[in-house]
Amino acid sequence: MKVFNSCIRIMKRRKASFLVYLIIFLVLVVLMTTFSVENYSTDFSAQKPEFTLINRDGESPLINGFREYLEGYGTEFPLPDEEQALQDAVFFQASNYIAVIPEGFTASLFGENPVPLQKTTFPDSAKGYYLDSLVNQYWNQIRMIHTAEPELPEDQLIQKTAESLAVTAKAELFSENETPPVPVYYQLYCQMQGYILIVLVLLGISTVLMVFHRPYIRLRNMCSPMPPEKVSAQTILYGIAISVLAWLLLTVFGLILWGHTLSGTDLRQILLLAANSLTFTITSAGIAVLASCFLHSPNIQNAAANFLSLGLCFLGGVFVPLELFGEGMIRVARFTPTYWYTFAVGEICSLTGFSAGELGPVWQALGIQLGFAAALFCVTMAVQRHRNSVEEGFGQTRTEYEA
Amino acid sequence: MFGSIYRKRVLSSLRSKEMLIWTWIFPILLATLFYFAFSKLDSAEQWSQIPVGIVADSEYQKNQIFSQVIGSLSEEGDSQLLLAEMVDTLEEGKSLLREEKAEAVIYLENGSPKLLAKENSWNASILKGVLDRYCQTEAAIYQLLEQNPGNMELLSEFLSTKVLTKEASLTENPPTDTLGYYFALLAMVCLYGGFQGLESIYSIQANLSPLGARRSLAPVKKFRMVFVDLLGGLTVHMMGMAVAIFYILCVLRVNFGDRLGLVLLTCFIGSLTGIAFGSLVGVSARLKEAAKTAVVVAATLTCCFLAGLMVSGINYIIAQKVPVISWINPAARISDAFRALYCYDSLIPYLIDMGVLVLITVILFAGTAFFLRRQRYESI
Repeated sequence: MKVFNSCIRIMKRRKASFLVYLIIFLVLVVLMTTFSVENYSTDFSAQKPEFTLINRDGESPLINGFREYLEGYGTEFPLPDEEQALQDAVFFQASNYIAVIPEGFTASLFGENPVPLQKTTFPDSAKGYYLDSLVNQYWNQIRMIHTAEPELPEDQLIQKTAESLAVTAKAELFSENETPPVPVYYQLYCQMQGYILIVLVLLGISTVLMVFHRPYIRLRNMCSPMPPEKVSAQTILYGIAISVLAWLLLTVFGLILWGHTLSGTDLRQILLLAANSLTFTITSAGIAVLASCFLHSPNIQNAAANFLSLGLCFLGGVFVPLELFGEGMIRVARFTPTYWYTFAVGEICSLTGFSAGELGPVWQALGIQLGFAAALFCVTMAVQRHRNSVEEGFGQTRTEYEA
Repeated sequence: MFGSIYRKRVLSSLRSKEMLIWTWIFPILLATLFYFAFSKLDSAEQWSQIPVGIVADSEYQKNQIFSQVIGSLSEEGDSQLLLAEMVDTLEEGKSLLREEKAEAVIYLENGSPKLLAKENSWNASILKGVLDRYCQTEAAIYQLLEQNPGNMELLSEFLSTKVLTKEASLTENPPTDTLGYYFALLAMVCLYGGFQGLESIYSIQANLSPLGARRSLAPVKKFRMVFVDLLGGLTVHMMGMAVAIFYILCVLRVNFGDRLGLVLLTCFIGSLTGIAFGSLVGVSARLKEAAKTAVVVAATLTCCFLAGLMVSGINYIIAQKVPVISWINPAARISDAFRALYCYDSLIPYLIDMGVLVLITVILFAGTAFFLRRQRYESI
């Protein structure tokens, strides 16, 4: 096992940079998971957008009633009446609806031409539309009741409006799910795991292969008494070991982190998710082996690892949900393994049963990922064969001394 | 001597494939990717007609007011809300949900409208709001008619609802979800100036490279050598930045507002911060070159993550909840400076960001100078 041991020795030498990546990326994945999560419920519950009320009309029972009404449908995001703070909130969509109640609004409310409320929303957003219809409904209802009973005191008017707005339609969720769903936190972790897997496997494998691809080492190995097949076998063994280690580490880390939320989840779904990430690890190993053929220095290796991981993950829907992509973009994304990885995570988490028909898309996604891996390994072999057959293949890379 | 060191540093940087990849190719490729991946991001948040199944059974046919409301909401035009597909039974409606042809099914149960939604989505909430409004208006009208039987004039007044809100824009440029990603990307490219800083220190320090050992014998003061070397690195880095900005603004046609000069100034100061950071990491004798590169890459990625490179809006949450982290994060300051130029009329927020960046840069350079000064080597 001389070659395998050498691989481990090389890896040990680079352990500092590997550890830096490991720790930073684990922290990033946890943060990304935490910040991306949205609440999940099995009962119908209307979404609660964030709204801001800027009252320039002075405090009054009407305005207070309005605030109370909106609080029933959304969450107030208080902001100071400062232009910059409001601009920031709109840009980052921290508040989905900013309603500025202008001076004289309540005084003109019951007249022919009431002063309109100024609203600011993200252009044409669904959340803005939803809140705007609520706001209009509230004030129209108040006007309606006032028209019917003009003598009604303000506090009774507000109470009556609140009572009339308490009438709601029944709503429920259509669910045929036999199993409790996979918790959103764990689903997102599994999705983000794809990002860190590519980086770790690529760095772990290419760090060693870069050394073995150096011309002087290749020449020396070729004239050593050890047959090339044995060298290759032990290098492959190292590749498998480091990939499985990365996969195991991340899977166990995920289970430690979110395991407490998985108590009601079907074990088969968790196993399928693990199988999906293992399949993706194999594909990542394929990417790493092919990329290693073209990497000559740690700087290029880092650039490649970052570009490939960020690029594939943005394109494959790891960071931005696939639903937000256009049709054309989805068509392009299908040519990336990350798309199929993300697709499989989504499919596994939304499984309602485990019949062959329901599992079909999952097996298909896993199969395509394996197909990617096979294609990548084949291309790598072709590249290596070509390199071994031409003289330039031994002179293009930096020598060990230079590196 | 100045010209000679500067020229050679620029040439060596331009010939370095690693630098070329990090600061020239990497941002262009990532920006292209953003452009295609996020082309529909803004429109995804916009409301559009909602595909919905309507159970048009005998109860629906009998309730003329409800069927008229559904009809008017499904009428083609600017205010069309529903893409209604009529079905005969609730089971057929459920099939539409299963086949993902509708987001919800609306049906009448004992005279009251009911919603069966596929999931808790914004569209489902909008539909629920529509049905709520119908129920509320219906209840109010019945109550009115009970109190004032036969008062049709009041009823027509009752039904004439007004639009009581008016759109008001707060910013000159329209808000967009995608810009934050480009801002964070440019912040990342600025901080990748750290590689130039690393390279400069690596080629100057006698204990780090044979080139550094040779250069430390040259008859040039170390401070001058470091200064000129870093200036050369900054020049090449700014060339890469200029190419990236030109590509984003002119080829991808991303709108950064109309203050291009200040955008370039931000890149310049951001790049200086990156170079200063790389220099500080570079002076460490304990870490090997690969580990230093890893530190620069990992730190840059972390800063950029916190500035919104991977999760949009995270920088705002951090600025609200842990403002200290936001203020000391150079990527967040660079990204915020771009946003300030885009959003605000006033230059004060921008200048505050720039001030903080300059302060961070000065501290980092001071740290580098502290470690570089008066070094003597017993053995190399």
